Amino acid sequence: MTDALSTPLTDEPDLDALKGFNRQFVTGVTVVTTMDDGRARGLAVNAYCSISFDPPLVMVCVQRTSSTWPALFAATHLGVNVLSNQQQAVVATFASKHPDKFSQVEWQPGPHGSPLIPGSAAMLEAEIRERFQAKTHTLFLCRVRHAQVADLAPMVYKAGRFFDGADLTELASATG
Amino acid sequence: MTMDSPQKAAIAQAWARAWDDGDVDALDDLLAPGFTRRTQGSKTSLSADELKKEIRATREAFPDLVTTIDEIVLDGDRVAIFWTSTGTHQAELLGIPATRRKVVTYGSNLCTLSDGKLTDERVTWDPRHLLTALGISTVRHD
Repeated sequence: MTDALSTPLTDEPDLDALKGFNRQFVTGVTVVTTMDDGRARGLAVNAYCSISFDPPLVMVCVQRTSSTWPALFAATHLGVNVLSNQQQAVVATFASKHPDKFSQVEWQPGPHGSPLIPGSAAMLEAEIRERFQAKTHTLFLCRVRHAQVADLAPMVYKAGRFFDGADLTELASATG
Repeated sequence: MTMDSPQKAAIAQAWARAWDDGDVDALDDLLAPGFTRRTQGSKTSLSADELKKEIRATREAFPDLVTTIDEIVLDGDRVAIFWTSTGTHQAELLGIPATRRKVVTYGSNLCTLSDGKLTDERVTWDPRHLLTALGISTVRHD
């Protein structure tokens, strides 16, 4: 065993170990969007997860303190935009506390009205089915209604930093 | 429901004014001094004033609230009220932001009568039923 941060033998994990665990998990970056009485809202989320293809289910996890969070309760649909390696300005806007993030970002309504952001690597729109309250966060379990993919490389998120998804080195395969 | 006794009619009228019209002071004629209300599964009970506050909060969250009394059963000093409530969720309740959903929930209250007034009531109603109707589920407490 060579791990620098290990969890002691109790029922509670060491917080630093848990944070370290999450820093080791590489994700893309999404902007989750919805309409709130005619106004576009959204936030940067890396807690996106595909659940199944049949039925087409996905989930996103949103913190209660987000200004978009209440709107996701009245909304029937949400959008998920997978950011591309060209969208540093977009991620900066959505990671900020700007009161009207969509005044800074071009967007188009999806088939059910959720804001989709051109220049994203991929976009989907989904119908919100379940809202699971997990203390400080809510998991929104959704059925996908629309998906589209662009010929753009994704942005990569690791340990609080952003990387170019077009510049990844593939590990040598067993046969290669 | 048939109002075959003045007691039933008095309960139904006070309920309609308090829950449907928001005139919570209409309960003053129905509740005995020292009235307590306990919901099954809850560790605390409410006073008449706290019940009025809860009705106001519920009506803020569901401004179009309509409560139908399905049945009132009288048996000596006991009265059981079976009810159904319908409303549209327009403001935060139980920590849930407005969902704009119209929902139905139902329950029953077993009350003790003294001189025509309710001294206590035990409510059988599960908030999870309402939350489920709103599309909300919640992680269990540790």
